[in-house]
Amino acid sequence: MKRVIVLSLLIAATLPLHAADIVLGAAQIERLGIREAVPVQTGKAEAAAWSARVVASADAEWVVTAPTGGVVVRVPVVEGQQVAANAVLAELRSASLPDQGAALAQARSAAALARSNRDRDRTLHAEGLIAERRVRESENAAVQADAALTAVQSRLRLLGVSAADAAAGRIQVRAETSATVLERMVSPGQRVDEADALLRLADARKLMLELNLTVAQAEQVREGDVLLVEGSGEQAKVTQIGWGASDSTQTVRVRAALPPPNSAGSASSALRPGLWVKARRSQQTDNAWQVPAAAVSHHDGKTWVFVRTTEGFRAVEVQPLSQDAGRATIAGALDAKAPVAISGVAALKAVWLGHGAE
Amino acid sequence: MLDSLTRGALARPLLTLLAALLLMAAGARALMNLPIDAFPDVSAPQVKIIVKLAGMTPEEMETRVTTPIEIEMLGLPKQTMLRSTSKYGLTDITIDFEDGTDIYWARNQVSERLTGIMGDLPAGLTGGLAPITTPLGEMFMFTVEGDLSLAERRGLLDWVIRPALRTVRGVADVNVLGGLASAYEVVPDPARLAATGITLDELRATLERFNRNDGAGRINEGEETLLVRVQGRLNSLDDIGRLVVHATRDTQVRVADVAEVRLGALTRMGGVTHNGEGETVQGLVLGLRGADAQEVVRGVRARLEEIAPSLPEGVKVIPFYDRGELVSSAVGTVTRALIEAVVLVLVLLYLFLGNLRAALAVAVVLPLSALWTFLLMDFAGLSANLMSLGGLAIAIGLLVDAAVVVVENVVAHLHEPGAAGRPRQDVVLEAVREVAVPTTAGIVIIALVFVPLLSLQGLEGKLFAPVALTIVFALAGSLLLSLTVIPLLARLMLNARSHSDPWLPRTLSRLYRPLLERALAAPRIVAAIAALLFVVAAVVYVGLGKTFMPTMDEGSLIVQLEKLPSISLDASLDIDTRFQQALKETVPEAMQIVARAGSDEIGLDPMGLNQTDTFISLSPGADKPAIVHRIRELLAEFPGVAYAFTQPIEMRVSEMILGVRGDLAIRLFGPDIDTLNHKAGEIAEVLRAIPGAEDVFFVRNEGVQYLRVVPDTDALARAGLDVDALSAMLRAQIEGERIGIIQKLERRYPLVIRASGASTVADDLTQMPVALPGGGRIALGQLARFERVDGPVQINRQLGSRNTVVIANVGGRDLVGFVEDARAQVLQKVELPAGYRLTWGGEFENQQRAAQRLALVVPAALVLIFLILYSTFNSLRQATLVMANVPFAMIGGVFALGLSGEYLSVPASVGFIALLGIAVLNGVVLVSYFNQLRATGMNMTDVVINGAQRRLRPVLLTASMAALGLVPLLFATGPGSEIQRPLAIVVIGGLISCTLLTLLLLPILYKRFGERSATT
Repeated sequence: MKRVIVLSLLIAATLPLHAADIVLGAAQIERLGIREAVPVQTGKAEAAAWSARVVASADAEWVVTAPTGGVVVRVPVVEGQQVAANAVLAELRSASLPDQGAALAQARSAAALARSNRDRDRTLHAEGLIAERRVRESENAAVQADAALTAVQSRLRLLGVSAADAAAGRIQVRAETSATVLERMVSPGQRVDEADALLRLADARKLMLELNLTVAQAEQVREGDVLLVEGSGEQAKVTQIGWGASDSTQTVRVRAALPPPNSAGSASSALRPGLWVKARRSQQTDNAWQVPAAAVSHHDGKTWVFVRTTEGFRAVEVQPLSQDAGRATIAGALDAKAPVAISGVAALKAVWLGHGAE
Repeated sequence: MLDSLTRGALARPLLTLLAALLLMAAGARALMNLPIDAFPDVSAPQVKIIVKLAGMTPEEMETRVTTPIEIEMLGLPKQTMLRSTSKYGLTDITIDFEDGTDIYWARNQVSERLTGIMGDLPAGLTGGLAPITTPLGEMFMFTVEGDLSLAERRGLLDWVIRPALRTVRGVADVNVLGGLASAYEVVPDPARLAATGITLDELRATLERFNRNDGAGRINEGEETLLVRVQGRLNSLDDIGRLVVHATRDTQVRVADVAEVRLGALTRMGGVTHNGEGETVQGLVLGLRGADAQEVVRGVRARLEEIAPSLPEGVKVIPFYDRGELVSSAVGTVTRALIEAVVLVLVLLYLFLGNLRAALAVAVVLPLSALWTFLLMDFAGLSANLMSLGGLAIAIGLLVDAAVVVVENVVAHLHEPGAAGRPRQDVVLEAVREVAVPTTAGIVIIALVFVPLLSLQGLEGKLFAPVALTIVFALAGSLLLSLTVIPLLARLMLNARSHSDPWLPRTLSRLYRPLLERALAAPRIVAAIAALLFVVAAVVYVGLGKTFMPTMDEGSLIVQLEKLPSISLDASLDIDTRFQQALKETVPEAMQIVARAGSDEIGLDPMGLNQTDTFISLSPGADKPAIVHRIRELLAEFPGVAYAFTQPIEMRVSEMILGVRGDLAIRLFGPDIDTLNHKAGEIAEVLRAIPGAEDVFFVRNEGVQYLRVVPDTDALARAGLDVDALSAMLRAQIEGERIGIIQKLERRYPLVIRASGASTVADDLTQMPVALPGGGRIALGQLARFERVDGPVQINRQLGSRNTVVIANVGGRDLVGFVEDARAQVLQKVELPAGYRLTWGGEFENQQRAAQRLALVVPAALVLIFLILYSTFNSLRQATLVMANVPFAMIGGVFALGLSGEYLSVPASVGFIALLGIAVLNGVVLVSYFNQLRATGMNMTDVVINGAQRRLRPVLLTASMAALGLVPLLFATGPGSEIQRPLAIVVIGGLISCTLLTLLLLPILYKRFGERSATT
């Protein structure tokens, strides 16, 4: 019993200080310059912004390699350049190419010889002049010569060289599809070995965001969540949440795919690989409100807005969801019909806290 | 000796007149030379150290800057007080020295020690010793108006007006308030910095190293020479943007690549709004210590006129406060009263003497002794102000005393039969000789009663010592003149034509005789009435309100507003503007309203952003109490805003004495800010419940919101960073950092690295990317925890100990009684933890100190007077008789105070002191004449009746002249009259009772107790 009394006394003692109701007359409200606006309900709650880096999507990046060993003669593209399909990316000169041309000629003539041998032997066998075994042998030789020819031919095709080029010892490396040059890895005059990387290309239409989030932040994110890119209006969908933390920064890598540019209503030209942007997590919620940032004030470790009542205002505790220089998104017991104070808030807070009261 | 003086004067008339002329000339010249001010300079020699360190919180300021300086300063010789206030970004240390300490010596001491410690203080510190001014040095305030932007007007003030005014004679400095101080801003983009791997340090180093001009010497070129100059100084935004921060073989990172370069403004510490029209720019001329206010203001006005043509079209400097005006109107009040007094005295003289020539001969003493007084004031280094001129005004009635006695006696002797046959010179000399000794004794006695005032200390001493000094000077002058020039004039001017007594003294005499006879017949009844009056007066006295000093009406009004401590400058200025708009509606008498919030540029009065001094200059003749009442009502419409009323000088005086403003200031000392807050709140609560409490107010030292950044040392270590780097980065991000100067013609603009500044969203800070030394980046939130907490507004220290103050003004009640009540109740209701203590200060403190001092000195003076009386009469009995006159003189003074509703204040006490002298003098005149008559062998009753009758005229004359001399002060209005009025009331009231009782009671007492033989 005694404890109850003490407790209620305590409550009574603290109540006047934090009574939520602020009694103000219309004249006082006008004098203090308090203006009001109704909060706007939004279905989406945006969290604080995280910085993210735009990178090319993992499946949209590839490397162009040297088809054969040689010297780089020309790399007619620069970093960041868009190249069309079949555009020349690099030109190599290789000392082994003329040999390959000779080998082709040899293989061709060998194949022609083998074929004519086979045909003659078949005729002879049909006439019964030669034994079956001879025919089989020459047929086999013809198949082998053909195979050798095909091998030489496909090798040249693989190098992308025509026979003429091959004879000249020149190889032009071409783009298979349209792409963006991310990096030039060689420069003219450089000697490369076969299968050395020449260029890094990416499909410009496939981008993603990379975020380094603390473990706590990463825990808020689920795969499939939508991240809103500030400034561009793009929406990225979280595709992957890393498992291990980075050693130096103690963060987890989270990736989110950006939609391809051709999809409706996006202007992805603003987003380029390598760019740092701010992304906000957007969540569906039915209790989020947008108010001017100035409407929100902090006291006692909590966040408050002042809602208009008939006698004045009432301080209402809210949960801050996000805030930028102009707007704040909050969650709390607000009403679309009850305006909140959006200016003169400091004065209002002073009245609330009993400042200047005699 | 007195004899030879008069003889010499009479013997060499030409020389004497020449000397008198010389005195007039010298006096007039001294009057021109006298520095004129409203108040005597009451400030003790004071040295202020103001140090700024951008972005530092009060507690940081305290531990890193204030405390080290304080420790160094605490041992200074001749130091009486050390106060400090540590605020956001600024610390203000005030060192008071003993009175009479040479200010330059004191500054030297302070500066010596400051130099010694400067090296140990944090880097980036600016400031040092404040200008040589006093808190009362605010002489002239103006705003700069025109079509220009705030930044342009501020630039104009900073670079054109201020330098021009600083060279005016007597100007210590020109303080600048409000507006926007332009600065070149380099705003780094954290994302771009991090992406390029450039650290803030690199950016800063680049900006610092490339912004330099230098000389490299001289080259001979044939028969001529070339001076070599390296001109690297940046002078445009493009210059800055083009600087290369980082260059590799194929890329160059320029400043513009990682930062935005723009023209912005320095972080504002305060703002000025006016007339409800929004922001403006204010200049404040600070007078040098001891400068003549009027001269300074004249010089400033002249210089402003001089530079007016060079200001851009349409720009005007509009003054709204002019100390010179106040001074001239205050001095004008006294001067007017002085002139009126002279006229009144002249009329009275004529009425009593019935002889215009005699009256004129007496009246000559007035201007002559006034000029003599100015001469001595000039020698003594006194300034002409309310107090010293007031002293002269009090003295007017007393000045003529000696001359009247001398002239009257000369007239009497000239009219004596047989005088016509003797040389006039001898007759005059004899007449003067007769009265020389009693006159001198009388003057000495009156002068003596004012001597205790000279012993007062502190503020009251500085205020009233000039009063006492001028009175003593004037009296000495009048005595000297009465014995030299006046007899000569009497000899030259008076004619021997005999005439009867004029109408006034005759009538009075006719009325007086039956009254006296009746009184003598019923001595007991008269004594009983006198005793009764005395008892009633004692009762009235106890009931009188007591205060230290009446408040002088300075013509202007200041309304101090205090808003939520965490308020932003813009919101604060917005409320100010709204208040001004409302004020303009409610108080049409307000001519100019200028309000300053926050700190000034120098930091002399570093108020918080939430504090505003609203300066209202009222049209002449405005009814101030009514206006204050209206404003009080208006402020009820501004809930959440605490307020107080004061006046420009009053505010500075009380601030200076206490470091705070208010009648009562309870200072609570203790180590913990929260406890101090809490207990101060309790004390304020107790005070509010005490009747008479007004504007109870304590600086709730909390409510400033802090974003506390708690570094995660582990994370910092992993990232290869440290707390220093972290805070440097945050400072650069928010407050900005001055890294150099961009010079354009005469103007020097700071070059600042600053990111988003105050518009940073607190939550975004946690996401701010930080480049790691080893490459890579990390969000700031990973290196530190961010929390919002409430914290102190400022930290006040006194003699090295933290404290807080509760202030109360007292209305409708006497101060001392209120304080006693408050003391008892606070002691009873507020429990202080160990290590906490209270001191009681405020205006009442001065009053108590004055009362204590006077309680010691006044009895001493009385003893001295008694000794003089004893040596004059050679009779203990008669000396006691004259002294017995004194208490009855007080009766009228007390009644007059009670009737007029004035409080018993220091000026009123001075009035009582003057009264004491006059009462004694009256007694002396009467008793000495009784003795003369008695010596002729007359019987006691005849002695008393005849003596009193004969002396009626001089007694009435001196008393009424002393009273009439003060009448103009009684009715004077205008600044300063409030201070003199209680004095005039006391003296006039006291003179009535005193004269009455001297004329009725003293004869009775003399008859009864006058001689030993009479009793035995």
